[in-house]
Amino acid sequence: MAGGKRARLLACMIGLLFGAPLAGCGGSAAEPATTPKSEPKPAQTAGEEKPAEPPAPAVDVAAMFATEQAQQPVHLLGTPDGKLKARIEATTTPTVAVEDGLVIITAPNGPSAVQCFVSPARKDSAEVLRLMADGTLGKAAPDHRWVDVHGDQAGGWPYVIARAHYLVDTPKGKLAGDFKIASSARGETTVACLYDAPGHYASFERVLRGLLETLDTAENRELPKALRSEITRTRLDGRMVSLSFNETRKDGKAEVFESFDAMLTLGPEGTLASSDSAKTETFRKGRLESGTYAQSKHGEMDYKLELSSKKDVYSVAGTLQDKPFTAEFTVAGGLPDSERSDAAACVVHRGKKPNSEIMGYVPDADPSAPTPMHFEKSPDPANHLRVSLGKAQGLIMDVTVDAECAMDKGVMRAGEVAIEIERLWLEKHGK
Amino acid sequence: MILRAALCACTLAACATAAPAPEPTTPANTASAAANVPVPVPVPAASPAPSVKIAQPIGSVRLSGNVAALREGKPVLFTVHGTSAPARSRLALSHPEARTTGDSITIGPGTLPTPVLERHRAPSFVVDSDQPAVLALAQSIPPGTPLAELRARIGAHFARIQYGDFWTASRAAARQAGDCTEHAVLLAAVARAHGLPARVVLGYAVLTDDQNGYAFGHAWTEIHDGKQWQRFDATPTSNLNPTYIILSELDDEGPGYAIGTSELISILLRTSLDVELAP
Repeated sequence: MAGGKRARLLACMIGLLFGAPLAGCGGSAAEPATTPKSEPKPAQTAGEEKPAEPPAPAVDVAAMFATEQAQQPVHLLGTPDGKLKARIEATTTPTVAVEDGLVIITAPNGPSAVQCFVSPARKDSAEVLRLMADGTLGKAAPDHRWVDVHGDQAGGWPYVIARAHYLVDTPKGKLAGDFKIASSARGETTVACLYDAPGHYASFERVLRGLLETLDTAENRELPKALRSEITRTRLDGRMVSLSFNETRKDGKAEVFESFDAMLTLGPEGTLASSDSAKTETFRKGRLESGTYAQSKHGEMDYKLELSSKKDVYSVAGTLQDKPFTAEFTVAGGLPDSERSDAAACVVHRGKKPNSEIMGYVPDADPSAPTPMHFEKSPDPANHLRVSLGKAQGLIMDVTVDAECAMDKGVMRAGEVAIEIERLWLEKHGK
Repeated sequence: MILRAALCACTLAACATAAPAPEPTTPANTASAAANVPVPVPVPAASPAPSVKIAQPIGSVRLSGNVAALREGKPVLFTVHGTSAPARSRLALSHPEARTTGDSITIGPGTLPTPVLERHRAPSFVVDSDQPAVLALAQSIPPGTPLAELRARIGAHFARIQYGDFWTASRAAARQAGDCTEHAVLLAAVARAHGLPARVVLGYAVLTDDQNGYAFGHAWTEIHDGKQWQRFDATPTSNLNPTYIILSELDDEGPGYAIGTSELISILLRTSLDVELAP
């Protein structure tokens, strides 16, 4: 998940951002009609009265922050070596530069330019967003407040996007600014875009979506076709909590399942909290053979675990909350692949059994043992199945499933809190 | 596939504590207030120091019944409604004074079992009293320090309140951050490092004002003083003198502690409490 190469690239991106016309986190900011503190005026003599200076016009910052831009022309762009091709919306011709393998796209839009950085390596997208925000906004305008975070997908690229309002000191007084940032990762490519100008939040997202939908990179072109790719979104009371990208590929006789999860939430006092997790699991003959699991929060590793197996005996080794960790457990018949777990859901969904149970390896729940998952018919007519997790079945989710009994969407209600998971995108290429 | 759902379930604590979106008004207000007059610009407040406030508790539940009795310090019974059958079984098993009745579970004033067990003294994965960060903190507090002062020292060790995780005591000691669970495990770990039996308790804290009661999921510590178990809450919540309702001891202190705790949090989130005077 983490790595020296990734760290260097990220440092490079941030360095470039500082060198770039960081619209100054102030340069493009809206200037409120605040005047600097007035100097004490000397007493005036009769007859010397000068006409009062006209008052500075009041600026409606709220209106400025609500400004959007109509669709602009779409431009074709690419690198000279043909490794990157895409289209991007821009008021005038966008520019493309390549520095140390990082492609920098500058697309003028409205009062500023959308800047996008395309890296030929997969990075943790929530962490990329947080680090870039810290390296730009955090340094140039520490007096800021995140006001929105959300996520979606465009052309099979999951993206997270966030907006912050800020204040900066200038000789003329405080300036109010409006900063937008987004990140996305798919395959071996990571994209991060930012825009620092009042308003244009929806316009920025439209530019980003257009870029992602048309983005074609050499690194991703070389990847083998996936059997199945999927993007899901988790929301808490309607607000995005995380986006997941799951993909299954064939590797000889084995199937490799990869999952990347980016969690980005607004914290107390307008702060931004980020967490990324990644796992790779190898299945053979319907059972989990090996896996790697990692999770970091705010750049700090929570766990990094390797799972291996010999027949029905699984061994886990790695680091958990800064401590070395090992465990061993046995699962008769092995931990099931998605086909077997979907089959367990199917027997209940199709009325062949009143309930069924499978075991799964969920390090978030218990890294030392398999976690039981219980299926039964949902008492809620709007849903197909009720899935209970844990020994006491205390975690309950009502789900709807597709024709293959894979979860399409699910909701976990806990008091007045509703946690919903929904599939945003699915692509299948068969076996 | 459905395992993905499980992942979210297991971050329920984090999900449930996500803060509401802040009002996107700071700069806008700045401008509208500014007009033509030099007006001091309000600057967004920096993160406040830990203080006595109950922001984003693990999960709140509806509370009804004789709330006044709580305020007056009278013994009360709590009826927990709306938990699933397995959850009721779990609560009944983990609470010695609980009894299940129909759709609810009735819990008396409540104490946990009195014997001191070996696990109350030994380091565990989450109450890791043998780790350097915990030992360093324990060594900075003289042995024999009165327990109330020990509680205060642990509370003061936290530089910031950080909601949503459930870290080990050593991580909480090193990061000097956390919410009620980190306070509870760190106090228990330091107590064990001092040779005192200690355990972590999960349940509700109930606060009342003149009109209403307010219950939320909480964690605290019990330390055995040689004669009996005593409750210590190292969080700022304790300054509000809440009523504590024990639901369970953190009985699994191993690496899988998260699933049991998540289940309990989930139960807390979907329950309501009736409060009545004890007979």
